[in-house]
This record gives sequence, C-alpha cells and structure tokens, in this order.
Amino acid sequence: MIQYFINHFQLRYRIYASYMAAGIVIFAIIMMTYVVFNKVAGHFQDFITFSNQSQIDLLLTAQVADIHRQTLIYTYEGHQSAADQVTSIYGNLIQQIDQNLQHSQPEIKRILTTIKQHLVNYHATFLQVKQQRDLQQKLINVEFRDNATAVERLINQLILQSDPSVATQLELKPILSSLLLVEKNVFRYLDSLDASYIITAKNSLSSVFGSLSAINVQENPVRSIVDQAIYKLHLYEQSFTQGVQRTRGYLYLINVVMAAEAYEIHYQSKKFSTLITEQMRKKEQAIHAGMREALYLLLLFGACLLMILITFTYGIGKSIAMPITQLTETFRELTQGSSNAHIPEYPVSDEISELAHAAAAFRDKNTQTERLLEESMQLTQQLEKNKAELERSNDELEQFVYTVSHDLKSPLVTSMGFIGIIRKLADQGQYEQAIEKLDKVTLSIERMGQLITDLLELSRIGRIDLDKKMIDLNNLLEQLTSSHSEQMRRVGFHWVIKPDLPSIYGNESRIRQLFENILSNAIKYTHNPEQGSKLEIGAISHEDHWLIYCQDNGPGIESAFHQKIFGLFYRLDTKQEGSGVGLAIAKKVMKFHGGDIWVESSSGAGATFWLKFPVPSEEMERVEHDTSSTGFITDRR
Amino acid sequence: MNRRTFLLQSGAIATATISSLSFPSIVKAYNKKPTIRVLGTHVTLQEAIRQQAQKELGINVEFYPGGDAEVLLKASTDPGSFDIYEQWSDSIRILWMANAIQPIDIKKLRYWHEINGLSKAGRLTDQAPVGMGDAPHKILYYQPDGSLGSTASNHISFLPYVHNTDSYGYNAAIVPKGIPYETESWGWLLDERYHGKVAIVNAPTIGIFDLALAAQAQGLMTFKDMGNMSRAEIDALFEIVIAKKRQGHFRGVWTSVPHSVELMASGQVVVASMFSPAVSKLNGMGIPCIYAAPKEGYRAWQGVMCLSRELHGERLEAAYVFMNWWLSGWPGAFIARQGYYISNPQRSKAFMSKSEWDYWYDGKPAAESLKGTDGRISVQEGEVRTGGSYTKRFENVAIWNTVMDTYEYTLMKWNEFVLA
Repeated sequence: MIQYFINHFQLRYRIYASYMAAGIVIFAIIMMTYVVFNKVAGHFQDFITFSNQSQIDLLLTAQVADIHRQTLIYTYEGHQSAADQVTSIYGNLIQQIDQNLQHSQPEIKRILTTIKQHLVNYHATFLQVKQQRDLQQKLINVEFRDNATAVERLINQLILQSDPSVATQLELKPILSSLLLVEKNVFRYLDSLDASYIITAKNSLSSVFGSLSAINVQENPVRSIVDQAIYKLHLYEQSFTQGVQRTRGYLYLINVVMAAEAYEIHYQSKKFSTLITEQMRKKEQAIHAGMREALYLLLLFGACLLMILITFTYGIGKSIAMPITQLTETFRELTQGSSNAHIPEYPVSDEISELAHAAAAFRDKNTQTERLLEESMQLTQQLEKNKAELERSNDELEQFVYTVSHDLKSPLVTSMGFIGIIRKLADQGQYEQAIEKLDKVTLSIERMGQLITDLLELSRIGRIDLDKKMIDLNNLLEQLTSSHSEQMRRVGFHWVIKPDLPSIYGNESRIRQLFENILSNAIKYTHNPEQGSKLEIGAISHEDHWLIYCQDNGPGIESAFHQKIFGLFYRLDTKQEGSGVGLAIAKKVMKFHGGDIWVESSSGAGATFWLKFPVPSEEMERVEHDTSSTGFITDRR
Repeated sequence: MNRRTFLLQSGAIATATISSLSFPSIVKAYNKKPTIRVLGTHVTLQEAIRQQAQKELGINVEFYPGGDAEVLLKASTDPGSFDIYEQWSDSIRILWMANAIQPIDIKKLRYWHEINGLSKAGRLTDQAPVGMGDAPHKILYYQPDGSLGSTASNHISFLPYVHNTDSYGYNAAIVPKGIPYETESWGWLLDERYHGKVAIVNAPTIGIFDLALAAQAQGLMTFKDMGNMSRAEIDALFEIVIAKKRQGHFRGVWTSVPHSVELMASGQVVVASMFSPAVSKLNGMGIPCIYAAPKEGYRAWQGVMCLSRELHGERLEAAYVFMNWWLSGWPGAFIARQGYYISNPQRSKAFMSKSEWDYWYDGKPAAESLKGTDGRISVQEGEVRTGGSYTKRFENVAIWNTVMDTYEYTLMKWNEFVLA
C-alpha cells in the first residue's frame, strides 16, 4: 500500500487524502450513529404506536360491552336513549378504528378491519332489531289493542242486540272472558317470553272463533255483527301472531346474530390485545437488543474505521516519511562524499522528487570530485613512480657510468699497459716483440669496441624498434631453431620446445634477441656430458600472465648470483666469450614488454629462466587481427 | 351453495331485507306463463334447478334465497311475499302458528305414494329408532282440529323432500381418528383434549342439540326429552357449557359454512359442529376433516316445501306442478350429487349412474371418480362415504332439528353462552 501511494500519488494529494480519510471516518461514525439511533427511535415510535393502539383495545373491550348492554336495555325496556347511545358508541368506535387503521401494521390492520366489519354487522343488525321492535310495538300496542277493542265492542253490541235469551247470553259472555284471557296471555308472553302463553292465547282464541261460529249457525238478526266480529277477530289474531313473530325475530337477531358479532369483536379484540402485547414485548426486546446492538455496532464500526484510518494514515505518513528518511540518509552519505549513495526511486513528480533530483545532482558532483581525486591520486602515484624510476634510472645511470667506466677503462688500461710495453720494446728495439704486443692492444680495443656496441644495443631497447604485434612463440622459436640448428648440432646441444606455446604481444626483433641471448648463454654455459646439454622451453598460464620457462641442465647458478647475472657486464664465467650484456639486455627487453625475468637455480641442478609476459588483452588481439587483415602494422607509439 | 351459508348472513344480508320485508325485484315474467315465487335457502334454491324447472315445466320460477332467520321471519310475517316456502321441518310449527301456510292436498301430489317412511313414519326401517324432537312425521299431517300431528289425513303441512344427517367434523391430522358409530362421539365437543379448539354452529335450534348431545355423552347431565327441553334442563345445560366457555374451551361459534371452514383451516378449531359442504371443502383443501358418525346418533334435518296461505288459483296449481317436479327424479339425482337425500330416492335412481347410486345411497366405495354438480371431480375412485349408506345413516338418528316450546328462552340463554 505504502509503495502504491508513493508510486501513484503526489505528496500533497497524500496529505489531502489523509485529511479526507479522517473526515470520512468521522462522517461515517456520525452517520452510523444517526442510523442506529434512528432505528432505536423507530422502535420507540412503534412502541408508542402500540401503546396508543392498546388504548383502542381497551376502548373496544369497554365500549363493546357497553353497546351490547345498551342494546339489551333498548330491546327489553324500549328506552330510546339506549338506542341513541348504541348509535353514539358505534360511531365513536368506528372513528377510533378508522384512525388506527391508517397507521397500523398489516396484521393489526387485518384484525381491526375484521373488528370493524363485525361492528358494522352488529350495528346494521341493531337497526333491524330496532325496526322489528318498532313494528312489534305498533302491532301490540296499536293494532292488537285496537282489534281487541273492536272485537269487544262488537261482542258487547251483540250482547245488547241479541235476544235476551239465557242461552245466547251465556255463549257471548264467556267470549269476553276468553278475549280478555287472550290479551292477558299475549302480554304475559311479552313479559315472560314463554311461548306456552301464546299457545294458551291461541286456544282461547280458537274457542272464541268456535263460539262465534256456533252463534252464526243459527239464523239470527245479528249475523252481520257476528261476521264483523269474526273478521276483526282474525285481524286481532293476525296482529298478535305477527307481534310474536316480530318479537322472535328481534330476539333472534339480538341473541344470536348480534351476540355472535359482539363475541367476534371481543375475540378479535382479545386477539388484538394479545398481538399488541406480544408486539410491544417484542418491540421492548427489540429496543433493548437494538441498544445493545447499536452500542456494539458503534464500537465495532468505530474500531474498524479507526483501524482503517490508522492503517491509512500510517500508510500515508509512511509514504511521506519513508522517502524523506531515505533521502535524508542519502544526503547524509552524500555529505560524506559518497558517490554511490543510493537514491530511492521516486516516480511521482512532487516536492520529494525534487529532493531526489537534488540528491542525484549531489551524487553526480561527488562522483566528479571522486574521479578527480582518483585522477589526482593516480597522477601523484605516477609522479611518485616516475620519481622512483628517475631515481632508479639515476642509480642505474650512475652504476652504468661506473660499470661502463670501469669496464671500458679496463681495455684502455690494458692497452695503455701494452702500449707502454710496446714503447719500451720499441725503445729497446725489440720491434717484433713490440708488434706482437700490438695484437694485445688490438684485442683490448676490439673488446672495448664490443663493449660499446653492446652498450649501444642496450640503449636502443625501448627507444627504437618499438612496434609491437602478436607474436606466435611457436613460430618464432621454430625460426630460431632453424637458424641455430647448425651451431647446436655442432656442440651437441638439444633444444626442446614444448608445443602450444602462447602468442604474446611484443616487438618481434627484441623477443627474438631475448630468446637468442638465452639460447646463446645456454649453449655457452651448459655442459652436461652425461645427459647431454639441453634447453627446454615451455609455457604455463598463471593468472593474467604467461610464464615461459627456459630450463637447462647445466651446472646451475648459486642463489647469490641470481640478481647479479642480470647486471651489465656481469659474467659468472669469464673464460667464456662474451661481454656480460646479454642478460642485461634480456632484463631490459622484458621490462620493455611489461614483464620480468628471473632465474631459479641451485648449484649443480641446472637453471630455469622464467619469462613473465602479460596475457595479451582482447583488444590487442582484435587490433592485431584487424591490422593483419588490412596488411598494416600499427606503430603504437 | 351449501345448506346453511345463511346462518349469519341473516346478520349481514338479512338485515337489509328483513327491514323492508320485501325482496329486490328480480326477473319478472313478461309473458303469460304463470310465475311462482320460491322463498328459501341456498341449499335448494340453486340456479341450475331453477333453469331445469322452467325448462321442464314451462312456467316461470323465481328464487329468493336467504338466511335461515331472514326467510323464516319473512315467511311468518308476510305470507303474501312468497308462493312456496322451502326450508326445514323445524320451522313448520312457527309458520303454522303464524298462519302463514296452507294445508297441502295429498291428492295433488303425484309421487306421494313413493315418499319413504322416514318422512311419513319417522324412520326408514322398523328397527330404526325415531329420533327425538320434531321428527317430520310428527308435524306432517293436518289434523281436523287445525293442529299438526302424525295421524294420517288428506292434507299435510309440508311436502318432505331433501334431507340429511348432520354431526361434527374433526381434523384427523390433529385429533386421533375414531371408529364410526363406535368411538366417535358427540362428547368430543366437550372433551378437554380439545380445549380452546371447539366451535359450535351459531343456531340455537341446532347448536343447542349439539351441546345437549355432547353433555349427555360426557355424562354431565341427562334429559327427560332432549327434543323438548324444560327451562330447568336448559338452565342446567347452559350452566355447563357457559362454564366451559368461560374456561376457554370454545373458540366460539361459527355463523356460516365458509366461517366454519376458515376456523378449521386456520387451525383455530379442531372439532366443530359442521355441515357436510364444509367437510367437502376442507377435504378439497387437503385438510383431513372427517365428518363423524357419532355413536349417539346424528342430528337429522328434513327439508320441507310449504304453500303460502295466500296462494290460490293458477299460481297454486303451478306451485303443485313445481312440487311434483321436485320428486320427479332429476332434482333428486341433482341434489344427491351434493350429498343430500330425496324423500323418494328410487325415482332419482334412474337419473344416476350405478356408481353414483352405490356411493351416495348405498355407502359403497366409488367405482370411479364421481363428478359434482359443478362438473368437477368431487369423489375419488375407491372413496367411501362416511357414515355408510342412506339406511345406515337414518337408522342412527338421535334427534331432529326442532324449535322447542322454550324457543325464546333458548335464545336468551344462547346469548349468554355466545358472550360468555
């Protein structure tokens, strides 16, 4: 994450992002708090709603009982105020239910709707009860009484108008009693609601019908009145029969239909109450649980957000601090002069990248300074080396001068001696002897000439014949073998050249001269009658050099002379011809070629001259190859 | 429609009509054909029957179905509002006392001689007991003194036609299945095992007998004459059941067949007095409701057709034609497919397949799937009608639906029970 920030966002945006993240976290916590408390508030609101709805439950329970009580009062007592009360309570209940229906949950709404429907049915049935009762009251209190009065009046009229015979009077007077009994039983029925009174009344009425019909069987002047009485009697019967049916009708409606509706309202109300109680209990639990959950969530959410914020802020901070710390370390190294101080990669272009660029510039300066220092040191070393070389050259020059003076002086002294002798001999006239002595002088002069020639040769090394090229030693030594084969055959010398000698980079004439001097020395000084004199030349690779060894089986050289033999005019065996310059030349040639020469030997064990040549570089070989291919030899001076 | 969807439709539908005591105008006859108005319940006043009657008789028939209380009140107080009244035999005493109906002349009844002994003598076979209460024959004949009795005469108060037996239903998924006529008992209605899950039909002239049979089956009380209880017996009975209700034994009362179906389907009730259409409906819903064959016997009911006191002339003759048609075979077969019986079954047999007859009347397993009157399969192959054959059922009648002398008192006690 940190690297991602570093690689993709500028410093200022990372700082902005950290502030924004903090702001977002704070906002998220506020929102979470709002949501949680809003939820809890919702639960509280629901709880209050349920509490309010429980009031409708209490209202229903109380008022439904009251409405049915008022209904019964109206039914049995006929009080209009009770009927009005029923309608009033009904209206109030419906209004309360309608208000609660608007805000209720589906289950509560369903129950309230059911209650309302039962209430509507109840009230509608009550209106029918009221109507039936009104009809019953009209039938009993008006029609029944009117018809009873009419029948009584007609019977009384019959009594007055009929013959005053005892028989007729006896038949008519009981009719009045029966009619009274009918009326009495009808009202007893209405009071007691015992149907047996109606049966008694019907029986009494039947006897009246029977009596009147019996009277009309006989021819009499009151037939029309009797007919009227029978007609009115039918109406009388019909009025109370209908009154009874209306009574039964409204009794059925109130005791069966309305009672069932009221019970269903009670039942649904109880169900409603149970539901409300249960929901309130659940809501209460939900509030408690919600509070716990809210606190838990807030803590959890807050902790999570805090963790995220810390992580994010840490990442941002780290993404800022890390490159600065790295750059600080870099600058610390740079101030200490480091030219290879690590500069952290910083792909985004911002203030830190400017620092990184500055560090890079600083490092470049340090690199330049270091290089200059190194060059300065190299120059100093070179100067020191040159100085040492100069001193050594001066020493060598002094030695050379001394040696040359000494060795050149010797023939001169010898010549001057012999010239003195010759002069004496000439003075003495001993000319022949003097002339003989001239040969000695000549020899000395020749020797001095040879010395001077050798010195000239020595001085040429490194001054002329400076061109170098790749030299295949196999070819060179093969040529050398050819040119010296006669001499070697003559002295019985064996020249053993190992195969696969290397190629070296050098001046061919000087290298040839080098091997000629070594061969010459070997021929001159190697005397091994037993094994036969021989010189073996081979090569071994050692690190970045070729070591060419030239091993003879001669008498060997004591270690005390291992250095001296490379000195100018130094000769171990003065009996042999030579100027003592060969190995000095060899030494100088090797030096000229960046190599060296030394001897390993002990007395009687032969000697091995080691020639150390640097391995030609690839560039030397490539240049040599190019030169060869173009037919050019490049002078490398 | 079923037999008594009405019961409390007398609360909702009835209220509007009772008040005006007049029916809404429906189909009017605009031709010269006589028109008869039939007032009754949804059990028999079905459109298919009306159409068939018009088609076969060439008269106009108007049906005015309504709830029990509604049609009874209307018929007893306004005889001019109908020509034929179709309801139950327990309404006859009220109608007769209200002088709302006229005697029926037997001579004009073409199939009178085919009507079986159930209606004429109160039982189908000699060994069958006559149920308590107003067995149809007790109020069938018009007596010379103007009363109704069982002594044969030339006139009758009603034409007996559709009838059946009722009992209680129970949800066999919850209540252990009983053995018909052996362990199934009215006493289950008061059994503590079903506390809070019992419902009773909200009809005092019916429900009171369910409660009385239950109380007697439980050994809680006995009756001198259950068909005509005294006030003391009613008090004792209601004391028992009201106490039970206050203890929460009853879910309540049901006021219509759909209501009874809803109560059992919703699980509020597991045992309830019930009508057969409700049982069929519940079975159709996948609820294993069993219509019990109580060992104490059924509560039976007899459908009746009565003539309005004010009916005369051509319409009276048309009414006789319509009554005769009801016993002519097709209507009996039609109603048999709904589980009801006709008083002259043999004439309907010709209008039924053998499988139908075997299942509906003989109590045999259905040889094939049987269709109801709506054309849908109502009986699956192999199914056996609970309670057995027609004869078996009516040999086990405990009581007939009856309006007792204590009717008004019963209503008030019923009110206490319902609201307890």
